[in-house]
Amino acid sequence: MESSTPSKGRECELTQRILKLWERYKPLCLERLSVIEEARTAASSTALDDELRGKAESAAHKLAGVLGSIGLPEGSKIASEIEALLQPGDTIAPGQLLRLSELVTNLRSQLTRGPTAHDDSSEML
Amino acid sequence: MEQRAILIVDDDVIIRETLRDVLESKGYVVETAETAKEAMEKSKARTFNLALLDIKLPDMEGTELLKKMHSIAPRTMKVMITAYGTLKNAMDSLNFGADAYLLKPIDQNQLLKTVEEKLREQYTAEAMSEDEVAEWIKTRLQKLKKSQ
Repeated sequence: MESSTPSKGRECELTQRILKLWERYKPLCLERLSVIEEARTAASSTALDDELRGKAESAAHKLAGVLGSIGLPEGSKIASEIEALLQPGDTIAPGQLLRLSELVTNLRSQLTRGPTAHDDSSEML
Repeated sequence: MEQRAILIVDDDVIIRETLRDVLESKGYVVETAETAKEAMEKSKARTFNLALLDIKLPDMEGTELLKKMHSIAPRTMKVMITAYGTLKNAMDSLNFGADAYLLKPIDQNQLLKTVEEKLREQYTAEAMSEDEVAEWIKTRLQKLKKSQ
């Protein structure tokens, strides 16, 4: 249909733009994920100190704020949950540790997969 | 129409560059700042029609920067950017005189809609008669007083 052409063109342009941004910032996102993974490993062996916990929380906060911007809205939600678990204060309970581990694995999958053209939330910036 | 200038203030390079990308694609002139200090310097050096200010900056709280920007650049429309978890901060920033706020991750349509709306408000204010300008300034001052 003719009426869908401008919209499709706009969608295509947007997808291309998001893919370009993703390629550009993927290494930085993976770097932030590494900090979180390091914290998860440390927490598993009860060696998570406040400094690493703070760095990982900050990394999760930043990922939560940006992943939706580069075509990964689900990644933003996961990172936001990780951020909540890493808030300073109480010791991470075994159940929370399990959840943290699951979330970090899911986040790794999201970042490995990257944004797809059919992601219906790709207008999140 | 003259190109509209926008200042993006955020310590995260990905946010700065993604916002820049979208706004430049719509023809806006964009400058970015990583810190509050840099934002103030840039605002003194030139006039921006609108500034997007992150609520959490490395050298200053965004609400503090907002207050300083009111005196450095009173005509600039100020839109605060905040994460979902800090919605209260967003509401506070409105009390401090922000013109609007956006939640991260920012929706592209919402960003453009907010920017266009605020610039239209500014344009309307600039096109007013003298009496209308006086009234507008009075309202704006009352709003700023309430925020202090």
